[in-house]
Amino acid sequence: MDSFVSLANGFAVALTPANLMWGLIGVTLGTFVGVLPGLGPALTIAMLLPITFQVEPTAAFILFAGIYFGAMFGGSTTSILINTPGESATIVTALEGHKMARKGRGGPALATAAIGSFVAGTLGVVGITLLAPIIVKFALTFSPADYFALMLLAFVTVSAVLGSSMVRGLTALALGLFIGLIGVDLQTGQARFAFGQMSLLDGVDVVIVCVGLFAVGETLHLASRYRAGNDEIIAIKGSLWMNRQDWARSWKPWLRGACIGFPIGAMPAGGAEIPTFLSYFFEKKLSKHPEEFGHGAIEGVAGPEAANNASAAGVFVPLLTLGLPTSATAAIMLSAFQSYGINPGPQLLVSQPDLVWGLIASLYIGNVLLLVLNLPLVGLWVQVLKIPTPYLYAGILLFATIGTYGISQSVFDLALLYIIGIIGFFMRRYDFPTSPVIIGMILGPFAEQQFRRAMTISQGDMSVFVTRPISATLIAIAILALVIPLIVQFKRSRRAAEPAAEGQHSA
Amino acid sequence: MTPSRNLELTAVALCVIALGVGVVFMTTQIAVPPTYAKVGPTIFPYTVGAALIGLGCLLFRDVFSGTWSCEATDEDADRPDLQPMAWVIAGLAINLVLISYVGFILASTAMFVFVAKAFGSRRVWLAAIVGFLLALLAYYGFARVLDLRMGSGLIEDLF
Amino acid sequence: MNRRTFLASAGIATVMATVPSLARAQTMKRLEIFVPAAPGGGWDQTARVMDAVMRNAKLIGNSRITNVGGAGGTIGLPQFINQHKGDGNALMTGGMVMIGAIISNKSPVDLSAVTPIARLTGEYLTIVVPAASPLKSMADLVEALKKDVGSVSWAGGSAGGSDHILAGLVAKAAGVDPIKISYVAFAGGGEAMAALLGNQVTCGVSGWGEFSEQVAAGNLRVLGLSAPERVAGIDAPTIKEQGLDVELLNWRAVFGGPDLSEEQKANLINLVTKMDAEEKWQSELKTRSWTRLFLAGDEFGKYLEEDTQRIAGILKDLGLA
Repeated sequence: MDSFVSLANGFAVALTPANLMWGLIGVTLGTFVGVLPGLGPALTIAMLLPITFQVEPTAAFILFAGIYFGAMFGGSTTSILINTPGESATIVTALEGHKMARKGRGGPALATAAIGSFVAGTLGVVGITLLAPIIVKFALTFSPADYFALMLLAFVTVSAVLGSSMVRGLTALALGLFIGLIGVDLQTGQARFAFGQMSLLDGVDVVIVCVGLFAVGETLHLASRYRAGNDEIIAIKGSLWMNRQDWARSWKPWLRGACIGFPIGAMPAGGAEIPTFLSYFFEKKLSKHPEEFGHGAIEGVAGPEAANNASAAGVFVPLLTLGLPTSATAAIMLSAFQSYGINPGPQLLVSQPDLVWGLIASLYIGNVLLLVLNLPLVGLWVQVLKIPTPYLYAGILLFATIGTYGISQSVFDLALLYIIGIIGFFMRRYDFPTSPVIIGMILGPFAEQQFRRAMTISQGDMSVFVTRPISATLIAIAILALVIPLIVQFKRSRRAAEPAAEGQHSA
Repeated sequence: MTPSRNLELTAVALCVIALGVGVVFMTTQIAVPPTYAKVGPTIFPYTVGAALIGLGCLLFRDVFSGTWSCEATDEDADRPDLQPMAWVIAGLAINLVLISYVGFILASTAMFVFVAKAFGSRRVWLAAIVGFLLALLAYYGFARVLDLRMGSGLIEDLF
Repeated sequence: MNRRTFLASAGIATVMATVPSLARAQTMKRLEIFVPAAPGGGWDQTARVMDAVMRNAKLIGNSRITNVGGAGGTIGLPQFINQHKGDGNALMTGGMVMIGAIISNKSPVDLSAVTPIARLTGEYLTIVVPAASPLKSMADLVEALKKDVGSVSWAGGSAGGSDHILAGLVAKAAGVDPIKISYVAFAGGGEAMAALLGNQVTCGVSGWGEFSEQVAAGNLRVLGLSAPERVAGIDAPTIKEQGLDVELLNWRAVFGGPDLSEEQKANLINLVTKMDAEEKWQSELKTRSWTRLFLAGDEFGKYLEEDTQRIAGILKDLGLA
């Protein structure tokens, strides 16, 4: 296998003590920026680009790969421990992860996230090595109509997070869809719902809504129940590590998450959020303990975390085979190539094999370093929960402020953050789930744009959605996913309605 | 369910309907360039507005059928504790007002103290020191490692 | 915490070592570069490279870069105007995209309020088709447009941006109504490119740098370049030489604050001119494949005025203004 020889060469280049040192710095720096909401790997790497003048390419890429994976791990750490997703792709992790942490199971939650990320990242790198050309060919056949069908499927999966009441869950989703509409419309350049505010023309940042609803809203809610004092966090209960049952419940979600995340990440408009939603949905449906979902089910951390990391690896498929940057971080990596005078593109793999394989090897090393560094630190991270309550919540709000104000320096954004936090408080008080808001905000604009692109290209002919095989298949799956649970429910209720026959067992 | 709590839920349902009506009304104000009339920038907003109105009505139904159970309807739950909430909100407000005048570090230190106070911190000076150091560290990290400045201010300008 | 703090500080130390040390001031003691965009983008990179080159050459002493991003520069612009009135030590980066954003966002202030200092770099746009496309030249494209405007789908950046403007200019020159074109806006370059490579759209518009590698690999074919004449190093015919009177340059420039004295203005022009002559600047342009299109002072001012009028006109034709 040619790829393996090249990969071995890549490792030979990457595995020097100096390069490992760069990897360590990258992972540490990455974890640090991942912990701060709003400050992502793309921005960090962009600001560190000048380093490409000082060090050789492999060292720089190892540093960047370390930052990339470190940031994602940092993002899940804050999701789990303080319910503040550092990145939009780690929102789903917060759903179950934070519930686990509150129950004293923060250690296993962090561990399953770290190991799941490692497993999925590794599978992703193997996928890049073996499958890249096939996957990229498939990904390019996706037209806007097909993407819209994929969005429909993603919308169906939202039901997994709607919470106890369908009506309130959908209301939260609609609120998210509305927030997603704010700003200049990409297709026509018309401002929508901007209320004459220049600051709203670019839309509302997902991170602001996310941090507002989760961190600020949660803090306000806890303040309102301060005297009741029944919401106490238990720092550690039972083992700090994953027990046998945790392992048994985690390994399948890791693998499934990787299988969902990698191909979607490889698609030019796939992104990292959608695979995490899909993974959560599947884990909830497949779990033997569906009742635990919403109360700290480990599958709900393992699957989405794996999906997130695998999609990050998937992003490198179009990057390395076609020179197509499909995420902000990939785009910045491309400009790092440019700083070395290398023009990224379809010829990259042929013209610069050392660099490309060195980069792939760096991704692998970044993954390993992260695991080696962070597993022993899980115990340390969990100590965060032992910080005295006043400082913990004051610190969370300080971090939320940094994440918003630090980059935009906009008081308007800060005000928006706090207002959304107050809305988040009311949503908790009246039992509206908050995550559908974020999901609506991410999926809504995406679905709308793809739908309108499809309509522009087909000149208004709706039949494109059913005549294209990919989109027809995806829509069929979406319909089945909607209908099958209804049929199952209907059968169950029919069975329940025949008490004469089976009534004796059911008690 | 007590009438006052029922009133709260009714208000929430009304807010959702009002938002929906607002969305529909504002959508009528969006200019539609002639070519794009087929699937223009208004179709999705109208859908979302209609959905909000419909969901608001369904929420109304839930209020009166008594199926809406939440903290606000829970007879055993205490009323919201207004004093700590007021401290937190005051902290946020002070941060908002001060940040453009004295800078991120001092404004956020003030917020830190207020929030710590809300959660029962008795030693204000200690909270002030912890908050100040955290904010300073964050500012310094941004400015030095990434060459990003979090605005200017009394302390920020010293660097 | 010890190990973590240690590693973090090691990281900070390494990075700090790469920042050139401050030197004694020469041409200008203090300079503030204002970027009306978020860190990481083109205008920000321009500011940071300028800053590094000028510090390296000891043209400036103290410097500071401020980012106020959003809405194509129209959020930063009013702030720059307010904060740097009569301030001879401040520059703002910006570009052609800002003109369109000011018009379509109905910004209360425009570029006539600030002082044009110099155009630094720029990029010509290209129109490409997938390799399998039956269209071979601009003439074929024009014919297709005349036959059925709606059936020709254009992939490019956001509506009202430079790519859309070029599509509109081509349609107008071809004699069809620009408002009728099927323009499909994509958020990032990668997505638009994927649509082209996957044969989902008829043609695509973007900067030459974006397409060059795919063209070299034979995946895309260039129909035309938006330059006034052929450009060295770009193996592509211009749109103009194919009989359509269309040219468009996506330029980047620096501006000074409002109400500068003649002396302040001359100082800033002098500073930027010196920077442009630096070898380090030239080599930076090369590695980043930015095309040098230096034009300073009043000449740039005149160019800016003409370009603004032209862009306002085409945006109106596209139904966006």
